Amino acid sequence: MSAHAQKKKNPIWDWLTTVDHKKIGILYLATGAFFFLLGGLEAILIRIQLLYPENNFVGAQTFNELLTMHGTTMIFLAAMPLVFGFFNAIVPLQIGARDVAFPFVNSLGYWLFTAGGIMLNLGWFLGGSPDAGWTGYAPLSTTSPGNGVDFYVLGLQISGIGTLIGGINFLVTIVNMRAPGMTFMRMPLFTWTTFITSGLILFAFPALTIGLALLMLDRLFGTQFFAAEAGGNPIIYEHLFWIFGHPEVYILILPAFGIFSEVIPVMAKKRLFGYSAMVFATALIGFLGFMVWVHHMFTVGLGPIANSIFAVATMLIAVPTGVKIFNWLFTMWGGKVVFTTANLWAVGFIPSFVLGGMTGVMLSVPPADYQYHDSYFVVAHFHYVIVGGVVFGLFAGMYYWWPKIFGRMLNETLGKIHFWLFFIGFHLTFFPQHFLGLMGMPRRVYTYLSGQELETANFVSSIGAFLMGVATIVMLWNIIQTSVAGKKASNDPWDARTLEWAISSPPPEYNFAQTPLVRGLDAFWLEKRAGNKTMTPAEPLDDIHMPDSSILPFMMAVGLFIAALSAIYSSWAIAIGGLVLTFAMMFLRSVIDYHGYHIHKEDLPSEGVDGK
Amino acid sequence: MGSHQNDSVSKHDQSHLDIHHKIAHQKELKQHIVSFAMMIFLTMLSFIAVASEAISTRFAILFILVLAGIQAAFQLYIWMHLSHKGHQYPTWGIFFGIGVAATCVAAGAAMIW
Ligand SMILES: [Cu+2]
Repeated sequence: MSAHAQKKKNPIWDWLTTVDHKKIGILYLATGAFFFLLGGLEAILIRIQLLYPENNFVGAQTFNELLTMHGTTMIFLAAMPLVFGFFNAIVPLQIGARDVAFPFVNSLGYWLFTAGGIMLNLGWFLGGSPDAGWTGYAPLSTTSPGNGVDFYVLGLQISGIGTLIGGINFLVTIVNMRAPGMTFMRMPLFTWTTFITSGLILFAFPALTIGLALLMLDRLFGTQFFAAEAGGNPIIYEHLFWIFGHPEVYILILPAFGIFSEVIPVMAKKRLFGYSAMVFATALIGFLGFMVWVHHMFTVGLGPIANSIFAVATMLIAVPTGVKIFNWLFTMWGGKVVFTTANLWAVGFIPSFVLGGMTGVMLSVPPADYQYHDSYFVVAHFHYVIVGGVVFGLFAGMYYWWPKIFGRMLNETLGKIHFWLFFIGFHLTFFPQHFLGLMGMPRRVYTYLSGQELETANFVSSIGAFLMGVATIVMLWNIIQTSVAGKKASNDPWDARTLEWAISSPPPEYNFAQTPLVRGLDAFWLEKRAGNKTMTPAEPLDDIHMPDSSILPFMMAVGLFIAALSAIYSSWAIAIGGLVLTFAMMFLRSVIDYHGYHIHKEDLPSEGVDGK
Repeated sequence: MGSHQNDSVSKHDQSHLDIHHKIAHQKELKQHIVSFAMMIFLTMLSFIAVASEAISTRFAILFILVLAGIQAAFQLYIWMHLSHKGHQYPTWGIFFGIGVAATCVAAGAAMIW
């Protein structure tokens, strides 16, 4: 790969300034994995506290902080960046593009997310983390003493900007940068779900931005938007949060659906059953996702009419979701199914997620919801959909795309041990919680009394959590072991169907030496059936234009970070300094011309077959 | 994607296309004049609605909001050429955004006590 002799860059500087979607993807994946471990650690501490009745492992206040940070970390700092990691690492390759539409914005999105993630976790070192739950309901959040909730508000606000611009970037990328011949109905399903997800981000995140902005004004500037005693209305916060919050669930699950729709056909050696129905179901889920948020607020007292409308809308979503489940089953039916680790996660997902879907339909019935609300039944439900759906999807994607992203195979045996330990641990943890909830154990309470028959299920639940912890250690060992001594990955280790497998593993920085010509759905599979080893090029070999790397996105994020942190401590001069830094970087970005550079065609490896 | 595929048309086709462009252009000019007149007329109507004693404030507000909606449509479709080819994505985006925002505002107005 040293054919084109570029001057060797300092690796740290290189990672700070990169605008290459593949490197940004790796940054997202690494940061997401770090926060996943952190959120997992918080979960284990929570489960140790709940191991025995009236346990005093952590106090009530620490428990509240752990619980808040576990939820916030897992949703915003683990699942979101991991999803974005796969968007970045895979989608441009799947559509035959050389990069995303806005590489600079892509890098800015990553650094803003990271700045927000660090800000959220500062509370651990600065006298108290957020403690008002991941939802941050007012007035609990507006009246919470200390700076904990301030870190929540400003951290989420900064990382939210990053997510929003990331979503816009992928919308534009998928609309504009598809290779010749790749019509919308020839796009792989992961690209489709990325597209719909990016749309959901675009429309859902502004509601969160407004909610957090009002919360910030209430906490830092003494306004009373959510203070009922001053004529404010805390219910507005709940609406704003869930107008964002419900689509957010689909922002997480749709990419997982996309991953399963890639893995299952490849591992069954069949084309995806009902491709167009899958696309339509994805779009319908995205659309309906915006009109169901009140199902989180059935017990607020909005009245029977509002509750009924939103209950019916919620139940409707079960239809397209069911369509997807059946399509995956029909894809496997009659296929030559290979149970690779990636496929184990996909197959394990189906019963787990269906269970979560069933309890979802149960929760969507308002009279029943009055019984389930704020109990462990809800905790069991959403962990079944988020772990059984999103996390299984991310693991499936990890085992499936690891060779493409890093150029090395993961160990399949260790992978299977990881799967089985995690799968068993997951069900052990969350299945008993359904019954804990039905028996009346409230969520978010730091302990429970003995003699109420809650002991056994809580004990089993904690053991399950420890098993998931052990499974994660096996996964880490797998990663370390194979990156030191793993087998090198070929271009196409799974005999797969989509464009990313037509190029070397890992891909060269320009992805495709020549833009490929797409002749149908499963473009690479079609070429392989036609006896071709690579894609047919759509253009002659030519110089490749590449974008310049830049430190400005990193500096913009640093500026916002400084501004937010100083605002929390009311150091207004420094806060303004931080904002000035950010705006100065934006100014520089506007006035400096970035011409990019060319990789000359003479420097490309001959044949461009596998980049060797 | 690539909507300009006619860079290799013959001379004859070119003049043929020119005529089509001319007709389309004239049609558009007419549309612009009509919409310009309409927009001024609508603006006058809203001023009258506010100034006149005979029209109640409640009605005037509703009336002006409806007129504003029409004006926005004129602006988007006639002046910002949203009706032209290649604007499907912005159109989808705008209308989905309006839909989401309207749902939220309506729900907020109806449900917040
Ligand atoms: Cu929901």
